[in-house]
Amino acid sequence: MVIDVRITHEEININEVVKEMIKNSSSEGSLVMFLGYVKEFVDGHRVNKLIYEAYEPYSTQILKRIVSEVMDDDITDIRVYHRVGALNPHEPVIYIFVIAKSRSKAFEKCKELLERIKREVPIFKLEVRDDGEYWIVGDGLRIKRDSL
Amino acid sequence: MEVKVVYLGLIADITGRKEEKVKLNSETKFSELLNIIFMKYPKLKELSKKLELIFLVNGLKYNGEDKLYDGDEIAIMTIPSGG
Repeated sequence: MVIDVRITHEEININEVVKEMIKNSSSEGSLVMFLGYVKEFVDGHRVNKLIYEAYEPYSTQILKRIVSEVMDDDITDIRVYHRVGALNPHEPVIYIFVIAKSRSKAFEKCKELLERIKREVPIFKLEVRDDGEYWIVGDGLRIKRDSL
Repeated sequence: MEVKVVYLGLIADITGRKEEKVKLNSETKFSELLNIIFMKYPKLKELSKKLELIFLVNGLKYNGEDKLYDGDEIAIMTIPSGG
């Protein structure tokens, strides 16, 4: 069983991760991956950048705890990477890779991880766009920074 | 005793700082600390009526335990927005 979890400023080399995971696998035959990236337009406005902040070391600790809670005996390899810092539109933000004994389990665990990470890991984003700066709360509520 | 209070995301915009040390007497409870913070930052109290605030104590979600200990780190945040 392989687990790798990281909060990082760096972009991840997807090909490298996928090749390594497939090379390490034995009786499995599929890999599920989720990639979240920065939108270029929101509500008709251009996004210039999305600034991510984490609360370290606790964000990493919570991320690791979620992954360990989601793991079960059917998962053989799981890797989760979340980027922080100022990211431009189209830049990747979150990567989830899962190899499981069945594809249905891999899809299920990938989705479960994503939903829990978005809701539970203390990571915050400030959307800088052509009509101002917005804090994003939860899964989409936007609060204009100069209204605070 | 002294605790550290950390303000995350938009909360730091309201308080104007990302963290601060708060000196308390040894009997001060979590709920009393919260009152101290809300008195210092009334806009934060206003926000708490509109948005759910989440508290972490030493990285764990606040579980209702009212006792604070010297060196505790309390983080105040809104619902995260990772991903």
